Amino acid sequence: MDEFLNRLKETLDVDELGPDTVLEDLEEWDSLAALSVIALLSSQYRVNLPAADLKGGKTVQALFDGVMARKGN
Amino acid sequence: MAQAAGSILVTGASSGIGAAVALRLSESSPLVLGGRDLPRLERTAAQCRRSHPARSWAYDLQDLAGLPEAVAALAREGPISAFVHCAGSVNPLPLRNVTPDQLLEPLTLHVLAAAEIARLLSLKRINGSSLTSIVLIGSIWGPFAAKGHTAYVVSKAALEGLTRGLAVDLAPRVTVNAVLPGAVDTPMAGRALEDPQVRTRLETDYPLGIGTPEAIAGAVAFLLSRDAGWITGQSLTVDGGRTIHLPLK
Repeated sequence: MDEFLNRLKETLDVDELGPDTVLEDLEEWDSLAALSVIALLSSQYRVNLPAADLKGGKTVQALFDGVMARKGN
Repeated sequence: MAQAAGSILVTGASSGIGAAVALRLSESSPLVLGGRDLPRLERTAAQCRRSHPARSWAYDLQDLAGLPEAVAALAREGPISAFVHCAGSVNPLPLRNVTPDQLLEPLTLHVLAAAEIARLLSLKRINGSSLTSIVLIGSIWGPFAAKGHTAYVVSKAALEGLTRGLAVDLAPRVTVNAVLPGAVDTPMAGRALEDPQVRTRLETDYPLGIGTPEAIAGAVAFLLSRDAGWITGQSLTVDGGRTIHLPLK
């Protein structure tokens, strides 16, 4: 999880990010930020996530769990 | 068509604009269809073969170093009279994520690969004097820009520079032009166009509506034709009026 958090912080260029952070609440969050997260997950975790999966109040923890579950398949 | 005996090489022919260009040009010429995925290329080739022979060339254009050997092998199978570069990709990212590698990827695909193929096809030892015309597919975002698309814009702007450079260097034997499409309903644009809000806005921005791959293919066919024989180094915008449209609101 620590590595995931660090990669996400770097991708979004934010200092503060925790498991409970809601992505859409971030000041930096917009449709391009979502694309950058999708690109990160694809390049680093080989997970292709639809943009819709980042909506609906998704937390960092929920995103991480989803990625791990897909990666395991 | 102005082509002498020979085939037209169309890159990016698996789908979208490249596939439409291939189908249109197959009405009057044999083709070589370039793309990464052989089964998808073969689907386009099968449709083209109803009119003229079409052979598939499976190659990843990010591999610039392998092009001299690959293009020479293509030309040994038969001369190439024209080259249409449709291979393209778009990968929008916030500027904070646009590293030199992110800039280089579209630049390699859209510009460096095109430059290398053009150079190789113009060499007598590889392709004789068969090459007569080149068309490169640019974008209306070459002379303009869109948020999150810096890498794409850089490459498409460079493509227009390449068009002019090649046009001068290869004259008078070869004409070289670019077609700059606006929004075209293709798999590459698919995700954006699936969004109803985006589609509605585009339909307002484009006086003639969103484009079809066939509209781009028509412009390419014209630039390869005898009728365009005194046109070179030009960028032909084909965008349904998008870039001349200043809406009142």
